[in-house]
Amino acid sequence: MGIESTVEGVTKTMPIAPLILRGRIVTDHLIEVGGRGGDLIFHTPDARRFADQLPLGDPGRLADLYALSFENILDYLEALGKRLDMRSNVHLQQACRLSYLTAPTTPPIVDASYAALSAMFARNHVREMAEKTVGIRYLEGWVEEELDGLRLGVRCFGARTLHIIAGNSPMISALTIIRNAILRSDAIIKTPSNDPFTAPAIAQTMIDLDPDHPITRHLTVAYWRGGDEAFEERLYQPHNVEKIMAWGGFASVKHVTRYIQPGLELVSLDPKRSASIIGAQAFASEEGMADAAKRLATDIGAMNQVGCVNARVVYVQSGTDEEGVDRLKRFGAATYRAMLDLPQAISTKPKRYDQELKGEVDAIRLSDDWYSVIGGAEEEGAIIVSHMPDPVDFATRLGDRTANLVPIDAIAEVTAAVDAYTQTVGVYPESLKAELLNVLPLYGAQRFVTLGHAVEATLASAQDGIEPVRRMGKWIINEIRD
Amino acid sequence: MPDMDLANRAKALCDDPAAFFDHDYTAMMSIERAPLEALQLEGIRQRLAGLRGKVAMLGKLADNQGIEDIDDLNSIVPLLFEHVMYKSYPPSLLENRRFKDINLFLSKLTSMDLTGIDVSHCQSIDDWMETMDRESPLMIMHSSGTSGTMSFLPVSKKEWDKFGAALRVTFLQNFGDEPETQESGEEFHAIYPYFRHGGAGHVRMCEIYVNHICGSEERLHTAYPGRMSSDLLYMGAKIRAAQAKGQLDRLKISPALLARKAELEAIQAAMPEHLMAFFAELAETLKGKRIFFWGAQNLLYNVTKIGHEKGLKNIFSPDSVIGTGGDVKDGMVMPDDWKEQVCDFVGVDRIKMCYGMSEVLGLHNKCGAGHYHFVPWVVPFVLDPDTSKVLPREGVTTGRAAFFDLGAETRWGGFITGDEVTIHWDDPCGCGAKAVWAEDGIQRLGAKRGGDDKISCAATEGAHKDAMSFLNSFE
Repeated sequence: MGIESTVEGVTKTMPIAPLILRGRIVTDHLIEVGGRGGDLIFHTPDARRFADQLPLGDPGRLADLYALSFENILDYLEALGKRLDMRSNVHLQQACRLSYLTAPTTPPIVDASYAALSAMFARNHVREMAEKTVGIRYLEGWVEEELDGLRLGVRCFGARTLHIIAGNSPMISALTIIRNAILRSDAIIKTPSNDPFTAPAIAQTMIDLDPDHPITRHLTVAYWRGGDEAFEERLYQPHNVEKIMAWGGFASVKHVTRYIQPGLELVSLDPKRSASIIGAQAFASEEGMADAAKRLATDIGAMNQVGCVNARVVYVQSGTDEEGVDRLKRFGAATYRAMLDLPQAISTKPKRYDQELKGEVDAIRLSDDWYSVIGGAEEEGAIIVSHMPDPVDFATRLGDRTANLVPIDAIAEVTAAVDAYTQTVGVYPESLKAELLNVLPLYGAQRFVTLGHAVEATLASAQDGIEPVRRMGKWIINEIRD
Repeated sequence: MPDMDLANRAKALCDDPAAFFDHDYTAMMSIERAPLEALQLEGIRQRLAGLRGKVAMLGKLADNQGIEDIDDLNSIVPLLFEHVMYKSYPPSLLENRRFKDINLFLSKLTSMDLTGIDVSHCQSIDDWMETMDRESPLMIMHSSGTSGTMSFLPVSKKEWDKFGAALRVTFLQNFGDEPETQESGEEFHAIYPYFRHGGAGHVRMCEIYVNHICGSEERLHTAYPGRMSSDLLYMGAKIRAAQAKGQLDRLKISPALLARKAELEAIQAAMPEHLMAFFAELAETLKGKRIFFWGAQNLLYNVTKIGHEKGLKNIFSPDSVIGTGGDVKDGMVMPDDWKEQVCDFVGVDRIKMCYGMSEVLGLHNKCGAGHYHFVPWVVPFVLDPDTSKVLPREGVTTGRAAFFDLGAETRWGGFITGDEVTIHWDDPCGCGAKAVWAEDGIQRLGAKRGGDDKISCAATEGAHKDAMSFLNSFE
């Protein structure tokens, strides 16, 4: 990572997030960047000085990827996965250590995510992902189909793509690199300030593996301040990139839309929220309640609630009368206890509790006619129980292991929970899904999970209601006439 | 033995800060820090003792924190209210117009018992605000509701009056002035290019203009007669929130508001005409007069722009007083020379800048050296933005601003804001004032994250228009 190396004018202890330029590691023209939250200041090459070198100027240079078979790609990724072993990979070890200071999660969770990187590259896993999210034969060559008596060849080509990735999990860097390889695309990864080290560490491992391999040579990793208009306007042009894949918050996605023009497509993994729905069956027995509480605690607490998939507002069919609210308070207390009991690799006391959220929680703590707040005094996370069928007005700010349980009488009331921002809907019990599956997607729901499994997203399926990997490719047709 | 003199003097400061300093701004700014902080500490202790049994939320917080009394100023910080406290009721109470429950909520934030006031007939926020204005000792102030819920600050009429008296001093006088200088000139006419009445903080100020600045209703000149509809403001904010979430189709409009559609439409339709009449009045009747004009920057500038389009320049007396908040409102882009333009229109050589917020009844003037000096009845605190722990009252500290308003006697004066300030505790200011000062460039902590619920009028007019056009889609 160039960490603690001696570079002119820079102290030895200042970490560097290198710029990776198609097989080349760049550590000069450094500028200082403040880590999110102000915890870590690192150096990185000034991307503006490399603006013309970031894009793949000539799209014809993608041809080298077409000399590879899909099995060659799997070979490469498999070998890369083996090298992404935390026990031996110095780049990853350093990146992991530095990520403690930049990540929104805490060291045990960062460790667990880094430890999981290698397995993402497993041959069978990648093959399945390619098959389900694109179809390997479309990647490998022309697939002939017949349509209205016309013979049609279809093939999925790679594209020059800029990836604006999110920083809530290091796995996003790995996933982006895998997707780029199977699509035979060229990627520029723009790293976020809360994860500037993972993508360069994987890229450096790729260079160690084979600096001249086409997959190594079709990856650029850079950090610049998102929103640097002069720079972005220059880079985000159809002659430089054909697609922008944007993960992230409302502001960053909204910001990117200004560059979209004919010839430049946006694949947007929008900011999303999730909802959880718990049916009356959870209260049929003490065991059932304990089970639902434990599952809910997992969906709230996993990854310290930094993901869009995490539970935040939870509609519970406890009933809204006094007895129902008492039931919900007991359920809230059980959920809180279960959350504190989650293993460290899954959930810990948050790194730094959002002080504005704390203000909100502390305020309604005193409004105890309307809300009960369980926990939160030590900034460890809290369960807010609404006494009315009404989420808190700061629902969109919920994070750092803070969830709001809302009592309802009938499941039909939960459509209010779902809107254009909804991603995952966690449901308990499984059988309750039948009532919701064909209704909630109309309002915006994109993914149903059984309560307790919100963060175990499969990588071999649609995402956010779209097929992002298919959209990362260019679907070319050949109309064949005799 | 208790220091009776200190106790009495602190009480006098809390009861009537303007009188305590003989209505002299220079005196307010000249008290040394040590004796002032002794008075402030004693004042806070008196307020805590007096209100803890009467303001239920304060009592609860003090019990939770196990705090009975304090020995130094910073020790009060665990008992300051978060700025969101005044909207910590379930959003559906307002949505469903459950004003009885809202009064129950407010009764826990004020020493006044509001539960006896019959609000069962109130169909709208406007109804309720009017009823409360009439029948309660309060003149409630609400926020613009941009978060989807309105904050309601229960300020008593007596507190407004006390604030008004103090504002006359800080509005009109500058450090070093003889109080008589401002008082000796021609009586002011106050102008305000908005509604005369309404529940939003900036409209409530009209009351202060009448009672403490210009002295009579006839000398207050507003652009629109009647009342700014709080319901329209609230609905405008809800529409924006629903639009952003793709939920506009699910927005519920209260039948009471729909029934008032024609009335509200008429008010809206008459606004351009009223505005023209307002300008005619400025140009003809008020030409050359001594005026007082206070408002948000965009309000000052918009009036100036229209005035300039009409060819109006230097229209008022040069001893007029023009002022505004020092910060740029969210989303408002002002031209670099806006101050010069406003001065040119009004005919004065400077605009008075101040820092403050509607929830803390004290406005802090910017001095000649460009620093905001805190008025003596408002005690400032700086909290670490990451941990909310109070920072020492020495050197230079940057963080979240919190205040204790000693003038608050029916509600708790402790308030944690969403603003980031840099306070110089010990550095003497070049202007000669002794009061502790904050640097220019105060910003919202959450500004980068977009949106907040600050009470500002930048949002009110747009929200009004949105709400009307939405209402008009219901035929």
